[in-house]
Amino acid sequence: MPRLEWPLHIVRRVVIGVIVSAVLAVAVPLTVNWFEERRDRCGDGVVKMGDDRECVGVTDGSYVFAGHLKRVEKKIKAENALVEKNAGKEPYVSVAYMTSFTLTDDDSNSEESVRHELEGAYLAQYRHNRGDLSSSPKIKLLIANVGSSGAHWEHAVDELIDRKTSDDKLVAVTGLGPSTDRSLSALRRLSDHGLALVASTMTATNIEDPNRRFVRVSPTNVDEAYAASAYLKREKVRTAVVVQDDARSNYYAKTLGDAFTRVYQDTKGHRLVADRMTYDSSVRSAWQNELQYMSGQLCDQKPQAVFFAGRGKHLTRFLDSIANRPCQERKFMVITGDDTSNLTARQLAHAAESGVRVLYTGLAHPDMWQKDPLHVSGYSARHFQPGGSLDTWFPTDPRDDGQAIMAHDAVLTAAHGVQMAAGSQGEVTGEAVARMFHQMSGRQQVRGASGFISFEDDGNPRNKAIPILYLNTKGRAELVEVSAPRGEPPRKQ
Amino acid sequence: MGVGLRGRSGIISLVGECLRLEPTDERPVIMLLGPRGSGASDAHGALMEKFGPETPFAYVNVGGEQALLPRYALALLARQLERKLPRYRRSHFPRLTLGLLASDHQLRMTSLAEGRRNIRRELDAFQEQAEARYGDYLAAFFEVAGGAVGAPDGASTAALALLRDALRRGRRRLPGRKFTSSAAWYGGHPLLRSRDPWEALVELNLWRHDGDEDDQERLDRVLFSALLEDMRSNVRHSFMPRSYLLLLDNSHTEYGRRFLDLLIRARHDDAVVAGADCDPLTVVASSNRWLPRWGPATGDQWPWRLRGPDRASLADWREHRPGRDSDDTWWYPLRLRDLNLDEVRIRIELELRHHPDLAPFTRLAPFVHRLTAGLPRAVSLVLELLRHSSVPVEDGAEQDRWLRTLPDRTPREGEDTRTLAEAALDHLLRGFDPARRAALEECAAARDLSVGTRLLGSGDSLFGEVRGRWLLHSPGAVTPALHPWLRRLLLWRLAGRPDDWDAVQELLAEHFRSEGRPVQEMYHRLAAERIDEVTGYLVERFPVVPAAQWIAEFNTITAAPNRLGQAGGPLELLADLAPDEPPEAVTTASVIRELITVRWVWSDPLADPGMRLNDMIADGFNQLSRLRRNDIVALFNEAERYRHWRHPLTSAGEG
Repeated sequence: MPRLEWPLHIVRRVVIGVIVSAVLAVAVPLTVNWFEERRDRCGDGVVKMGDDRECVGVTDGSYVFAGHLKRVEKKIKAENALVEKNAGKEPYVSVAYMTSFTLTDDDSNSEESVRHELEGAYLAQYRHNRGDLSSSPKIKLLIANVGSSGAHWEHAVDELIDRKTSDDKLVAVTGLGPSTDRSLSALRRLSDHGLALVASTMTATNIEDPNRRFVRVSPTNVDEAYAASAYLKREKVRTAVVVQDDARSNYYAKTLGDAFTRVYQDTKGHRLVADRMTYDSSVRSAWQNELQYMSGQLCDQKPQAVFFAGRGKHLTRFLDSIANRPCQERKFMVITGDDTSNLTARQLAHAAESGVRVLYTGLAHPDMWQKDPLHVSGYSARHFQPGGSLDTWFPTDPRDDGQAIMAHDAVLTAAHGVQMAAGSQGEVTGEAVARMFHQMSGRQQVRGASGFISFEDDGNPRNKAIPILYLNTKGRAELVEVSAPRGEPPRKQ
Repeated sequence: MGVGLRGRSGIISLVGECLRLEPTDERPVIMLLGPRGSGASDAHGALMEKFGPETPFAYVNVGGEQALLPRYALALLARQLERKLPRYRRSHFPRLTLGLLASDHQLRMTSLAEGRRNIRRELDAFQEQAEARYGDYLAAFFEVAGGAVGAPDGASTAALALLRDALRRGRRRLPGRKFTSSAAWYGGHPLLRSRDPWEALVELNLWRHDGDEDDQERLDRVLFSALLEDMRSNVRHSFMPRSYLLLLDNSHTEYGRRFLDLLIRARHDDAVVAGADCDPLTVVASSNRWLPRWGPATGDQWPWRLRGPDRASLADWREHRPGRDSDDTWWYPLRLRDLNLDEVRIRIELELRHHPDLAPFTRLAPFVHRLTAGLPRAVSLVLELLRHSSVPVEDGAEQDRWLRTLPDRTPREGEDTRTLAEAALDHLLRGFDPARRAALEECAAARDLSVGTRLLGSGDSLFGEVRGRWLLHSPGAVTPALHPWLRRLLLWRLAGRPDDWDAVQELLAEHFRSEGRPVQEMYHRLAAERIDEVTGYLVERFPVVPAAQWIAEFNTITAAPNRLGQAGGPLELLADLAPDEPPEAVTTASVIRELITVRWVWSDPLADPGMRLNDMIADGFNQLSRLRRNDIVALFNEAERYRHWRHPLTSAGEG
């Protein structure tokens, strides 16, 4: 071997340099990633995203998405810990509750409504794990935040998909947020990955899942419009006008408006006195003015009722506009859909101040059981009564909006599916749970607090009970009656 | 290039060439030869400074008070060569170290077989003890021989720092690494009877502790062979130097000569007899003696002729080296010459950087050169004295008067209270007893030392001793004269003994008269201040010989030494030499007499340091030319020569 005569100190420096460079080449990106991850990390499975650096992702309750959720998340965490602790004795699978938990002005949901949803979800988990419906396998409840307006749904969905094969064994995702493009995209992706889906408050009619893994516990907008129309007709309201949000992504408004237009006029003596009056909430600078100008037109058209096919937060503006109408002597009745239940107590109180009679088709109401005990499961509804479980766990948090009930029923549906799937085969998978949704009829119907629930082939609830609610002068929702798209809601089987 | 190597640039380039050779190429043992003070130690310092930072080197001074046995010298050498340099891996000398270890302590054994069984364990134990005490085994040798690695005289601070670095102690060997792992090499060595490595080591031990002189020498030869094998083995590896540099100072001493003998023999045995690769050791040894192994000091029987350092090169060595069969083939003797005038001047200017107080004396370069003939140490001594004395800095009569007694001056500072002459003579003639020195003082009166020693009864031994010490000027010249600096100092001393001076001059004058060599006779007559006799001779010769010959005789005679009074400058000295009664008219005799006295004073640098008498000599020759009818061009030319004096670069014969 030839002698090398290169200066050893230079060779050493070069070798050390190369080694150091190689180590740095590996270590620096890793360190940068680690720092970035650490900087972007809020908690296990939860990261900061977007310009607002909001924390999105999936947690078992360890990470608290917002201060007002602290109490309920703490309980969920404790319940999940118990499930994991007993995993040796009792198997478990996970069910996620997904919606926007970090809210801004752009969201139609309010903090109160999402908190109530989570409280209801927890109640369902508790009942399934060790409450009156205790059964196996147990359920671990994961909380998935898609961020304000569902902007970061992809991240949350990816996280959820990862949990499918992790120790969490995720089988179903519930909640799913409002009826928006993003929610639908999330829904399709989750379904494609074999997860069972149960929407709690998604009411847009035109939601279809080719995989047939999607069901919802809420009535569709068409059902709501039918129920509203039926109510108006019973009340002998003959003339009406439809005010509708024309924003492309607002399926809720479109399906609601279309359905009402179609059904209201199908009986002689009832007509719409003007063309649909529209505004576009996606044009931020314009929609408020558009609503402002409508009051004058309404004075001219003189309808007895206005069917407002739009989000609750737009309703408050609309009511402000009507309150200042040129024809103060005319009385209007405004009837609208379930999104009103997403308004906060303060927003509702403000709406009530307008002096306009406001009715809306809710998704559920705690008084439904008292008013109509045949069409609501007493076992479930009791938990929502004063002195019930929720009142005990989360006092001083009025849940008239029905969101807690809907979330509860959604998680309960998933839990019921899990139980049924476990009964029929050993391993519980998302696909198996989704198949069970279609077996939930007769004695297997879901005994929900919002009514007895079974599903049609397209995943919609069959003839779901719909409460007609009246916004009283204190801004509280009073139950007027329980309606249904086809007359009488389903009874206990 | 350091001050010390001015005029020796060839040595630097030669050593550089040797260090760049392929590891297995043959390289000479460079011998720097010259009298004490000829700058060999300076050369060592300069080589250390030049090559030390990038080459493993060792400096061993074998001329110290302490006897340095070859094994100690080897240990010191290896210890220094182990120095870690940034561009190379550390060198190791395991065979040498094992050989030293094996022959260090007497082994406890009753039979060879028992010794063989125990030796490994005992050697490991010795090594551990030494390492526990000194850090590493070789460091232990510093305890007894550390004095031989002191820095060479006049070494620069950079060279000193390098040497300190090379000697740094405290490097602990990795535990568990035992030298006994190199025992196998000893099993195959031709000088050892045993083929078994352990028995061979036991044999080494027996040679050292129970052997006779031959055994001891064999042991040393094996150890040298081990060192060279270690070096060969080291340089085969990558990131190792191509060569090692050994600087061996004062190698003319008994142990120095022995070291060189053993080294040359080991190299010759390996490279020529055994046909192995040449070792990669570049040796620069200095000696201010003729080495006896080279034969008689006349050099007649040594195949080498001394080479000058200016054109020293490997090509020159290869061209002149004797055939490879003789171990003389390894020598490369370089005679360190004296500095010429320009080199003296540059040296003064270089020293100005460190000693700005020398600035007024740069003009004195010709004086210093005339006085010392360019012997490096003499130049340094004079400059040192000028720097530390209250010499008048203004050029003039006062400075001339001060310089007149320069040899008797002592430095104003410092512990050494000896005069310049004493200090210089002590150094040059170290080892001469006072009687021989006194004899040499008398012999110095003769231009030809051989004549002096023969006439004054000191015999050939004194001449031989002087020649062996390289103290003869211009070796190989027809007239074996003492080095001018030494001769001047000796005559200065002799001048302090006026009777002896006169007697010696008289004796020599008579000798030359009887020999029929009037010019030499007149030289000594003038030295005895017999000016009229000399004048008579030269006046008589003036009309009868060609002018050029007359001038040559005149120059030879007036170069005579003097013992003139020590007070006064050249003009005052001349005044004392003037005839009692001034001549009434300008005659040939009066002109020649004056010319003789003027040139006599002029030719002694101590009498006319500034050569102020040049014009008077020129005038004298002009006058002479007027007093002669023909053949006057030579006289004119001579007048011109003095009027526009240009000091010769090297010749110290004039003035």
